[in-house]
Amino acid sequence: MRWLIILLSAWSILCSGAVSYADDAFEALAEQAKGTEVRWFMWSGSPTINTWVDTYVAKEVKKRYDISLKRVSADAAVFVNKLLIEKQTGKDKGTMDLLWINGENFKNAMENGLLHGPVAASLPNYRFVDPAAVEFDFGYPVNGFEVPYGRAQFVFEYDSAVVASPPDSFTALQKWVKENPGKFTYPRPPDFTGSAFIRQAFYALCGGHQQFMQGFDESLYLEKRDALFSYLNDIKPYLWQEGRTYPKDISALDTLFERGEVLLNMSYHQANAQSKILQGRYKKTVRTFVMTDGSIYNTHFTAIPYNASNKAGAQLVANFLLSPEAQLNKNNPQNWGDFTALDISRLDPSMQKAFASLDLGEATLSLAELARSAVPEIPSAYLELLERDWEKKVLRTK
Amino acid sequence: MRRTAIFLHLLPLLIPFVAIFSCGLLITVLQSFGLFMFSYSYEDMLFAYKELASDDWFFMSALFSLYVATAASLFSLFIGTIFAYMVWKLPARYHSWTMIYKIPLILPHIAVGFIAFILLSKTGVLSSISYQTGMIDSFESFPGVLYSPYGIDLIGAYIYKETPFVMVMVYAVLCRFDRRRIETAVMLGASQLRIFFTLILPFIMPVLNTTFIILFVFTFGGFDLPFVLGDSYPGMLSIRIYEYFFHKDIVLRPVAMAMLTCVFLFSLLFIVGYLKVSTRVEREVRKL
Repeated sequence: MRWLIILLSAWSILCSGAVSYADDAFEALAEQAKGTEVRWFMWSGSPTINTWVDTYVAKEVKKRYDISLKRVSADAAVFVNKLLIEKQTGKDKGTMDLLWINGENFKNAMENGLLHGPVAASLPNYRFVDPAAVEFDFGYPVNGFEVPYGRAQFVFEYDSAVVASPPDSFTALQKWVKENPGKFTYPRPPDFTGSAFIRQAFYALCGGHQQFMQGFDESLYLEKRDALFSYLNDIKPYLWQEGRTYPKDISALDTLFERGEVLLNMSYHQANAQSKILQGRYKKTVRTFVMTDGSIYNTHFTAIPYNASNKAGAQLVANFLLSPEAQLNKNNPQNWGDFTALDISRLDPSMQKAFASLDLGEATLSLAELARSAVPEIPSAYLELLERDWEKKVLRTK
Repeated sequence: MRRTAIFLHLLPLLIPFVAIFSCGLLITVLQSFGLFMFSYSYEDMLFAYKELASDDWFFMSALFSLYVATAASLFSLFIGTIFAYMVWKLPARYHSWTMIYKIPLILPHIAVGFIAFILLSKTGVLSSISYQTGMIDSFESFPGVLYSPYGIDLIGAYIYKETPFVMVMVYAVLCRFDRRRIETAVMLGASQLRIFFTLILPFIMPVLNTTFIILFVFTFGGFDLPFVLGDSYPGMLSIRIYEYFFHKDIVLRPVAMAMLTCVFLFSLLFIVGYLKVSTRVEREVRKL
């Protein structure tokens, strides 16, 4: 027995000799972060996600690094705002250590120098990520200031016992809405999901996503936008409440869908329906579908504020979140169902197998089906204009 | 001498008030002119105000807020005064029973919003009860109280919340009223209406004025109820401000701050103007 221990420790010493300098630096971080607390500010609108963070993640980082993880609920716009004020008042010891962030909020944070970095490349688990896949966040260069954390794709939800064949293109949706007046609506942009819905319609109705990928071009936008707004105005009288009002956010629409007031729902999270079924909030017959003319996906990230008081601990947690074990656990719909940000082909074979054999649940589409219609997010300058014009041209027209 | 003493006594309260409140106000006003806006700078200091002046949505929202605040405060004042008067006229042994009216007072506004939502939505509790008892065939025929175009849901929720507040205020003043004056009036043959209008109303008028100001200004800038119950368009000003502040690009922050500045100035003008008019009216009445 004793020999075995000696052999094992000799083996581990040999192994540690083989690891790179980056891992050595990381060891030092781990030493520094021992016994500390990491305060993670994140959107906490989903009980499933909260539970995953509070139980699995918190327990694992405690066990591995002796770090106590505290989840603090705040919308990204709110904590970016808080950081702005801290920066303005010159507070160098902030209360936030780790942020869950992407899109416009990341852009706002970068423009004002609110983030610490670059950090991504120094994390050992970053080697499983395909850097090309996380080069941009809504068209804004990431430059290693964000660490990828998960991936989500936009899907629609319906109850297969009520709706026999859901409309899987924007033309079909138009027809369906007119045949079923009052049974469809979308959350009012700038709600995250509602805004993604109109972006998707923009791609589908205005000539595909390719043309918008080369940075922002205002004349292109002005030339293309009309088809989108005439479409949305065309279906408006047939929406819930005759389009006079819209659900203020996705949870308001979720409530309408759960109660059967509308027959279609949407989610910027492909496994949402499955986890809602597991929670007992959706009927077992709820299924998802994607628009064949494009379904947006995005990557979400973690980032560290410039004034985080526990930067070492924050990097350890970000690295743990990126580890194949955590990503696999997160991908399981029992826990959350969020897709991995890792490039599966970079993992070792047993891990690849584990990812392939995940049971995503009947309500979740297969990876192949999702991939077939996946389209990337738009640069955020377009997003701002789409939201602004939606208010002008759709919300306010009678 | 006495003034300085009062001032010194108030100092511990005044310092945090002045420090926090005026700093907030100062930053709001500065940012509305595009100053202290983090790493952004603006060529035109009046950019936010120009944006507002050309935005008819801002005026629609302002009018809507004005309408909701006026309607909700007047109705609450009216109902609350009548109820308070009725409670006051009850024999003393029933007074403890009337405590029940204070329940909405304890509930936060946001809770009232959720209660209204749960009860009144098309698939809510009342709709389910009507369906189960066969009063309606499907939830679609339940009247659309929520999201009605005239903000009736919002005004109703505010009335529910503010009426007890009016009752507390008015009842407290009524308790100082000398009941013997009513007895005298009755002996002289005055009708109930006459008693109310010539004896009671002038007596409670000052508290009605104060209460109206409090309710009006509070409702005008109120956020939580419109957040839960409000319509997408035009919506109350507070919701517009919230959206500009949190949901739009930070570059547009001065617009939110300009709206806040306008709300503050309007409320200030309203209070000053209302107090001037009401004291003048009172003086005229006394002269008669």
